[in-house]
Amino acid sequence: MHRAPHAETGRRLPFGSVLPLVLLAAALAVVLVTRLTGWSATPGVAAFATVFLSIVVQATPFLVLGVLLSAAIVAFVPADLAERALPRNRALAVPVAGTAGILLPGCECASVPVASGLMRKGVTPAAALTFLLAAPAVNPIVLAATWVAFPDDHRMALARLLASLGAAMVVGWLWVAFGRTSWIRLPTRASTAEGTRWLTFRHGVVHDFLHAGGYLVVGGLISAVINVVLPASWVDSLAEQAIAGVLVLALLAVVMCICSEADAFVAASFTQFSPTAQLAFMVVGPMVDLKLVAMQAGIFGRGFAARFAPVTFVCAIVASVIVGWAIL
Amino acid sequence: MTRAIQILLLAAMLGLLLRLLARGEYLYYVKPGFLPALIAAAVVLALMLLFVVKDAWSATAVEAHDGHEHDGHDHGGHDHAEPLAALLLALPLIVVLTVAPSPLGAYSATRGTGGAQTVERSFAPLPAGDPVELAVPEFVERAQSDDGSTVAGREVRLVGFVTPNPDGPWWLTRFVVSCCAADATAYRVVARGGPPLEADTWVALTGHWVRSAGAPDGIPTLQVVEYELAQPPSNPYAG
Repeated sequence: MHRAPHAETGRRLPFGSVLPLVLLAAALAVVLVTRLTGWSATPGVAAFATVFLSIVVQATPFLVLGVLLSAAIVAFVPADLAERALPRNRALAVPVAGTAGILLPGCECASVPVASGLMRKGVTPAAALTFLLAAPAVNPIVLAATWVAFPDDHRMALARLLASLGAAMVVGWLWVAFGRTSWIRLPTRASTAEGTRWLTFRHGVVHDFLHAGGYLVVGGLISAVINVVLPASWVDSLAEQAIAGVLVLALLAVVMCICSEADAFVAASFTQFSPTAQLAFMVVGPMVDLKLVAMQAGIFGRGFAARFAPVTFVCAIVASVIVGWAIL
Repeated sequence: MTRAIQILLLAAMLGLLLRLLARGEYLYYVKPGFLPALIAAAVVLALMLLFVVKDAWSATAVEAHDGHEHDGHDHGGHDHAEPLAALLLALPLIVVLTVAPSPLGAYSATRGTGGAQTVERSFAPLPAGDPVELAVPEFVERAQSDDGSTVAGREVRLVGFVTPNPDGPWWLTRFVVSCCAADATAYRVVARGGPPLEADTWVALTGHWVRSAGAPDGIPTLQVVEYELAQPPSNPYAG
């Protein structure tokens, strides 16, 4: 057996191992009970199922694309390519990585596995994390969608580009200054040294898909519960206040887990909120949402996600407020 | 994580996609344009499944030859440390099997982030000949734009489902989805003079717009002239 040096990450805290089992047992019990009693779903349960499945179904193709890219980076990209492509200075590598995010035309579900592939390839975590945050928000598809969603104010697309890049880079620099590599616990898997590259690629795809997919389901579950349980009017009642409005839409972005390619249309529908609040919705969403944090916890470790998500959330809000104040 | 569980989980995800594609139920969750992406994902999942099954097959053959006991671990020289959360990949299929797939309906139309807040736009005049077939969202936007002048005095035909309103006539409703059902926005029209119908009934209404000065929520009113029950459309969402 070739054990990777950090193989102990496979071991989890007791409650962490039990929780998914309990959830699964509960789900199986529900199937049995519903079949035996001839129960049919109430409207609330049906709505929950539709929202949950729509998040999973919508994210699956992007997740598949992400794990294919990630496995391809690990298996086929020469080991020294990242070193040659990125500046040696870590602080300089951050803006380069953020700008490179323009090249990945996908949403946030693809970027988490890709960032872990980059880290395995030796890309400095600060640069990989900046890429992770920037790519889903600043790629051409998302910016075009934002352009279309705000037909009367094309400054919104520019504001989104600037605020997202700014927040991603600040988080990257914070990582350079304060981050510790020990917080990141990449899942163990085959090293590239053994087997053929093709074998490495195949194992990587399966491994990453199972790994990130399970956490995607966790995020979808939480989001769907909140979506269905949320009182109908709490959002509208807070729309009037400037600061509360920004916070409400930022929190809503975390909870709703909308794909970054679609969130501009949803943001545009919040006409009762200020443009800055709408901007915060679009900057926070692709960086911090429930399914994304769950996937980050799964791929980079819980300790990492517990530090990374709150810092990113604050940076995204601050960047939105500054850019919104200056441009919108 | 054993090979057997990997195979089960990949099969569960593939089974989910195949079922939704075969029955057209994917339209309850995503837009029609998403079809190629879902097919591509299903193909990749099928290939992944194929390779894992093949590896398991050859690993079993090697063990049988060597006389080793099968200990449930991968024999390809890889550590498998998928978290147990990966087991949750079976959950979407369990939900589909337990809760019959359905599009968003009346329950969601009055919840969450509420109704559509539309921006005034300029519309071209409606084509000649009454009644004019219109999508519910377009009717709502036309009624709210330019003082409703493009729908005033015209007879329109709208298809949607019934959302009960505790304080008055029910709403004819249609969701607009921009990417997936999680971002759906409800568009509603007050069906004045409509027949008493159950929630989530699909119906086609013919009628004309009523100028209602004090509609604070921006929901326009339709004076119903004629109605007929309608089949639920294969794509339940508009836009």
